[in-house]
Amino acid sequence: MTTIDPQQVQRLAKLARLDLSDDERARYAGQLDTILRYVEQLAQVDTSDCDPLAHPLPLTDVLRGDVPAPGLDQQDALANAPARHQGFFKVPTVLDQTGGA
Amino acid sequence: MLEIDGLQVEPVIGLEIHVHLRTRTKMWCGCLLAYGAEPNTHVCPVCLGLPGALPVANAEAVALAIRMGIALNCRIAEFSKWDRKSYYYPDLPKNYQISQYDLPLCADGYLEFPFGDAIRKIRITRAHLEEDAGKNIHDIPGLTAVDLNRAGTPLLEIVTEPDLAGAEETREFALQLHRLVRYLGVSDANMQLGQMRFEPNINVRIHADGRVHATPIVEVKNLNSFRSVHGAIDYEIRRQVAAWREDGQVARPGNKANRGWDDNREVTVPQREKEEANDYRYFPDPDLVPVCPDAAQVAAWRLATPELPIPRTDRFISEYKLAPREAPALVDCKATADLLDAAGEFPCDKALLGKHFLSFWSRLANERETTIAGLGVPPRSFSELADLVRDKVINATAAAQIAEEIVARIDGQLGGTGRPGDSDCQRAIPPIDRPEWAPRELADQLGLVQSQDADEIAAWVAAAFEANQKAVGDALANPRKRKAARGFLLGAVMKLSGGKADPRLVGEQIDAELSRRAD
Repeated sequence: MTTIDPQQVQRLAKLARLDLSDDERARYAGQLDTILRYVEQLAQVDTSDCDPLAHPLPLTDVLRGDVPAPGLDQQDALANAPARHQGFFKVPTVLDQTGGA
Repeated sequence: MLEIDGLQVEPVIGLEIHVHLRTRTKMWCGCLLAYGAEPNTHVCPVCLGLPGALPVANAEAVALAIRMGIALNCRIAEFSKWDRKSYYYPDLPKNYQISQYDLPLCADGYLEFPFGDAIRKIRITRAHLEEDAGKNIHDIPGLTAVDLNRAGTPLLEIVTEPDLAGAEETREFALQLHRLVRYLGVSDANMQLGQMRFEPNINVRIHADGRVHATPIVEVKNLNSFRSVHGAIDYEIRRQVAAWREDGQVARPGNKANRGWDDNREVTVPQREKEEANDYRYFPDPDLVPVCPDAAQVAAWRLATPELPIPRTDRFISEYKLAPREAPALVDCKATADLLDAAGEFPCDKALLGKHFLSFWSRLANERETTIAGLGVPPRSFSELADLVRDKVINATAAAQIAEEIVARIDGQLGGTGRPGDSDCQRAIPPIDRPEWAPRELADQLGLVQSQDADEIAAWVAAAFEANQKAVGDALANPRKRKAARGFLLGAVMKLSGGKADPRLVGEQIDAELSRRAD
């Protein structure tokens, strides 16, 4: 049986970049616990005969041709940005300079 | 095994390689791939990660990934899926990267390449498809600027087993992979543009006191030159041995570290570690359905895989009698190598054909900043020209002159446009074939058909001796100067003949004349 404690909530909050108060941590621990217990009912089903499901839709190979399509111009692309700088999105200085995928 | 400071050291290296695929558009949307464009001008709701936008996989990227997997002797998945890898970074607008976690398109392959006297076989763990991030620009004080033009570029990640045993070997492996992706047309792999990047995982096994001590693994991030691959590994090997002497630390779960490469100081530097281990929370991407490559299509790609650079190099060396160090110049540009083979289909002296490719055809291509395949010369003209030389109809100088004339006439037709750049190794231009531009025809037109007439040659030789009495005197007086003087006289005769004299006959007559005068 899963139980979520406030420490785990804090870790999740950090991963999700959420700043939670002590009250919120306690409240969400309870709520998350309820959700997990609900979902955990699935564990009672015998799935030994089932293949893992990669996707709920019975579809595969939905692909597009390598054909250009119009995108947004720079103005529109930046329209919702809180801050911009000469055509770039502007964000607070990043210290850890390890970019790329 | 290396010996460092009296210790037996066995480097263990695995490599991760990221390659931009050669598609027109991005992985999940129709934005064009554009290098060096104005920031944020090749973006759309999908690659900006705007709410509600849905990705659709680029079929060409999937095809290129599979074709690369085939060349790497991988097992191609029958069922492959997409997963989200979550992390926060400003260049990653969705806050997750779409990648492949447990069911990559390609797995369990290998690449063999010659290294020293041996053939090395490096196992490929997997090759999976994902997307590149955008670019953070840090050189503006007080802010980080984000350009998302690169976000969503199709990226193939290739991961090797830790089978590499040294800096030089890893560099060579990286070079061979670079050659391979370009050969297949899977990537342009331009290093300056960051289209191919390397991340070696390095540690060493130190044999001491009858035991083996494995040092903690270091991953060096984002290397974008072969020089830095070599430098970073070489440095890490020495650093890890010194560190082990200092603290005796060995590899254990959780002590792997990331380092960066400082190109100026030529050292690796620790990267700021995040307080907690990365938690990417991989899970299947609900926006994308699985991919099941069609077996018949995969089989067709397998059949269509071209002869790869390493076996082709061996064949070129034996077939065109190339020196091993010359061969890559003709093999590495696939379009040119294909053209050489097309020319070689016509019966001709293949050694001469190869020689011509390496000499004047290369020069003519270089002058036009293109490849030989970009010249537009019909395959038959190459072999015909080689045959004219073999049959002594023309000499080598005349062959170069005829080649120059053919290309100049094609220049006139093209008006200086339409040739591929010299780094475009995939594209040949359609040959421009005119019967009156055939080499034999031009040899006549330009009066280059070689004179085999002994009397005519004798007259030129006599004239050259007459005009160059100092050289003749040198040759006769000083045996050490004889060779140079002979060459000088040969040049003089060729000049007098307008390049028409058969140099072999000229040489014979000069030797005869010199001997006669020496007596």
